[in-house]
Amino acid sequence: MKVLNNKRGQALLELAVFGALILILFGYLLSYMQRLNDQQYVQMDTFRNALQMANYGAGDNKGSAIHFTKLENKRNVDLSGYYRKGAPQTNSASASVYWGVPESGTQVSTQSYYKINEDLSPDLSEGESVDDVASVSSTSFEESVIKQETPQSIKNIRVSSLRDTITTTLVDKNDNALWTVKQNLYRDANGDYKYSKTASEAPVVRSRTWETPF
Amino acid sequence: MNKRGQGTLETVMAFIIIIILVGGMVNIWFWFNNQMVKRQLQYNATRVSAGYGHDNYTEKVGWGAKPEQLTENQVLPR
Repeated sequence: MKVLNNKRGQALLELAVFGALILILFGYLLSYMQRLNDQQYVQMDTFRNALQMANYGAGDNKGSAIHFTKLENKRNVDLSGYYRKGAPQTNSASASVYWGVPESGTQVSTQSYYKINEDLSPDLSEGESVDDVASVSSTSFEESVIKQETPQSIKNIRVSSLRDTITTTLVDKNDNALWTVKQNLYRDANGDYKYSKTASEAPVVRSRTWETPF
Repeated sequence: MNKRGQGTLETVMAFIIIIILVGGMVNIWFWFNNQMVKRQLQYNATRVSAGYGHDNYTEKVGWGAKPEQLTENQVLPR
């Protein structure tokens, strides 16, 4: 019973429990901020693209009515601790712009485009409209940690290999595919994770070495 | 064995770590606020150019803004 009456032990336990909760709360706040930040970029980018498309139509310099939707797959900071794996996140936004200043004697054309990551769909305004966006993701991740001890130093090497393929299909109300795009994960010049149909299926390999010399 | 001394030492260490943690979080929030201002300025500046003088709609408009990378140095300045 002495153990149960140990007030210091109780204080430690409470600190451990509430400390963990506070850390989770902080982590959630930061994740929320990251999502909000990316979402705002996508919304702004979508409207600017729609505005530009509406002005030029399909490259024929005619005013148009444009419906433009953008979907962006991201890999945000992952709190689970896997090395550079990232947590998948999808941001999307839509914008409709009616520019409507066609050349004299011509009709305003109405067009509908989807941009999935870096790939732009063809004009989908003809026929059935898009009823749903179906997305299938295939992810494989491997990680290894190597510790090398020599008389001169201790070296920790962490290597991860990530392969991610997302297949996005735009379907109409009858479940017919209107457009399908298969995109692979890659890293751009800034080192950011991106998805593109032109990227190879090779995994993205990341590694880092920590060395402590004696 | 001075148990009170040990408790004080642990508390001091824990507080230092907590302050660094909270400081890093505050810096991340500052970064987020700065991002909002930066992208709004670029967004306003590209409003007119989005409606002018490009040949086709796949060409990038002036809006080339994208989320900046948050670096370790921005979180914990050295």
